[in-house]
Amino acid sequence: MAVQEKSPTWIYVVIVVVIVALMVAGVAVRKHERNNREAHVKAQELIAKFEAAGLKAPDEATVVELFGTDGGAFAADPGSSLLQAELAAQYGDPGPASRSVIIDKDLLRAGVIILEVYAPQKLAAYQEFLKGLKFGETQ
Amino acid sequence: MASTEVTAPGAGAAARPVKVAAMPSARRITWLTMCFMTVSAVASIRNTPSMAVYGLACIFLYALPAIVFLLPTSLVAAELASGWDGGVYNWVRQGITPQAGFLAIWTQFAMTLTYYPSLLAYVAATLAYIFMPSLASNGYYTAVVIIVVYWVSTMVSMRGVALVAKLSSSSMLLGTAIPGSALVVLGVIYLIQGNPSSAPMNAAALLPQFAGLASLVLIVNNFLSYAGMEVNAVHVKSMKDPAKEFPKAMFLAMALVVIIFVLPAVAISWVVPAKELTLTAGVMQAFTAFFAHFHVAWLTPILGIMLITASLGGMMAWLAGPSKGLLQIGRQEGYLPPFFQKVNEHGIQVNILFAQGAIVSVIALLFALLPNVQSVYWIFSVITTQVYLIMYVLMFIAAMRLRKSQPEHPRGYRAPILPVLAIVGLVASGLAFAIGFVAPSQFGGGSPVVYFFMILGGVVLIGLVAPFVFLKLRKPSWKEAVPGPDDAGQA
Repeated sequence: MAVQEKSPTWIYVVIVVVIVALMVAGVAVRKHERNNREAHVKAQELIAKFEAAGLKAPDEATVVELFGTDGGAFAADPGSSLLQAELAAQYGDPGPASRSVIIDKDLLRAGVIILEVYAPQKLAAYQEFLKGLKFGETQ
Repeated sequence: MASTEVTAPGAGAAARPVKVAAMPSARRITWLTMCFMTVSAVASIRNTPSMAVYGLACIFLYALPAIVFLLPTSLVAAELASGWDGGVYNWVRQGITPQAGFLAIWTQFAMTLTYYPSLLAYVAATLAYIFMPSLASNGYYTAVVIIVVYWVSTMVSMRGVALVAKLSSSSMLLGTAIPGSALVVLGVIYLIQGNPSSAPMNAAALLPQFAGLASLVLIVNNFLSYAGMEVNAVHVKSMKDPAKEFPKAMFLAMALVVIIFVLPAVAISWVVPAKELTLTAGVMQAFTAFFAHFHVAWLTPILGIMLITASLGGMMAWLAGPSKGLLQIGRQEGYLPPFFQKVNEHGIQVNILFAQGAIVSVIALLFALLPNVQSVYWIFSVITTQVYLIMYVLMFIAAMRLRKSQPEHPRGYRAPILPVLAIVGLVASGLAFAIGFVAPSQFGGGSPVVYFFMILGGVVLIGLVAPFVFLKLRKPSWKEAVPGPDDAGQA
C-alpha cells in the first residue's frame, strides 16, 4: 500500500496482533461438543420437519454444525428486540445509506421450525415478532 | 509534521488560537489507495448470502443499480474532483451556492450518525456469534462494544488521513477482497468437481421474478448499495495529481465494487441452494453452511473477523470524510463556531469528531439498551438515508451548472454525456427517495399515511431545519481567514 507519509508502526503492529489473536481464539473456541448424538438426533428431526413443510433442508452434517444441540446463535434469544432488529436488517443493503426492505415471506419462516426442534419454549416470542412484520414476495 | 498556532483574524473577542498544521506533503495517497479506500467505504460481502438467494438474478439486481446510480455518481464525482478539491461541499458551493454546499455536506454527515451505531451493532453481533452467541442479545455487551470500538477508531483516525487511508484500504483487502475471492474460488472448485450449480444458470434465471412492490423496493434499495463513491473526494489534495489520479481511482473502484457484490453472491448460489440459504436463520449461519459443504466450517470465525475488519476499515473512511468537509466549509464560510474549527497537529477536525462521537455514543447507548429504541431504530436509518439522497440531487445539479457556469475551468477528466448522466442520476436518486416512503417489513400493518408523514417530518427536521439553524446562527467573525491544513488553494 503506497501511502507516502510515515505513520506510527506500533499502531499497525497492535492491529495485526489483535486481528490474528481474534482469529486464532475464534477457531479455538468453536464448540466441538456440538457434534454428538443429541445434535444428530435433533438434526434428523429438523430435516424431517423441513421436508414435511416442503422445504429443502441442508444435509445432516451442516445442520449439526449450524445448530448443535441448542439451536446455536439463532435460538439463544429470539425474543430479544436487539436480535430481531439485526435479523430484520440483514436483508437490506448493509452499507452506508442502508435501509430496510420488505422481507420475502420465505426468509424468516424457517425460524419457526428451528425453534420447534431446539427451543420450543422460545417459539412464542419469535412468532410474536413475525406477527408484527409485513412480508412480500421477491423470488 | 510541523505545526503552528495562529489566531483567526476577525474572530474578535471570541478568537482563540487555532492550531494549524503546516501544509502537508501533497504526496500522501496514491490513486490505488484512494481506490481501495473508496471500495472500503462502499462495498462489503457482509450480506452476500441474502443476495445469493436470488441466484443468477443477483447480477441484474446489482447491474441495473450500477447503470443508473453507480455510473452517474462515480463519473460525475470523478469529473468534479478532477477540477475542484474539497469534495462535495465545494462542488455544490461552486455550482449552486455556499448554503447549498453546507446542506450537501451536512446531509452526508447526518447519515453517518445513524450508520455507525448499526454498523457497530453488527460488529458486536458477529463477535458474539464467534465467541458466545448468547451475548448477542445482551444490551450492555452491545453498548460496550459499540462505544469502545467507535472511540478507538476515532482516536486512530485523529492521527491523520494517511493512516486512515492505509488502514481502510488494507482492511478492504483483508476483509473483502481476500474472503470474496476465496468464496469465488471455492465456488469454482465446486463446479470443477462436477457438481451441478444449485441455482439455475440459464438466461431465464438472469431476471428476478417481479412480484410487485416488494421486488421494486428490493431493486431500488440496491441503488443505495453504491452510495458513498464520492465520500473520499474530500481528500483529493492528498493525492499527487488528483486531476488524473482521482478519475483513475474511480474507474477501478467502480469495477471492483460491482465485482465484490456480484461474484461472491453467485458463487454461494452455486453451492448452497437458495431454499437452503433461507433456512439457515442468519447471514453468518449461511456462510457456515457454505463452508460446511467443503468441510471447512472452522473458517467461519476467521471469515467473521475478516468481515469485522472490513466494516471497521469502511467506518474509518467515513469518519475521515464528511467531518472534514464540514470543517472546510465551516472555516471558509463561517458556518461553524471557532470551537468546531479546531484541528490537531495532523490537520484533523478533532472537535467535530468529539462532538460526532458524543452524539453517536448517546444514540448507540439508546439503541443498545432500550428495546423500544431497538424496535424503531430502522426508522432513523430510513430518515437519514432519505436526507443523504438530497446530497446526490445537489451534486448532480451542481455538475450540470458547473459545465455551464465554468466551462473553461480545468478538469482532469470530463465525463462523457454529463447532462445525461446527471439526469439519470437525478431520476435514480428521486426514485430511491420516493421508495423510501414505502414502509418496510418492520412497520407491520401500520398506516402508510402515518409512515409517509413520519419519514417526511424526519427529513424536514434533520435535512432542512438542522442545517438552517447553523446557517441562521452563523457570525461573520466565525469566517476563518487563515486556511486550515488542506484549505489553501481552494478553487
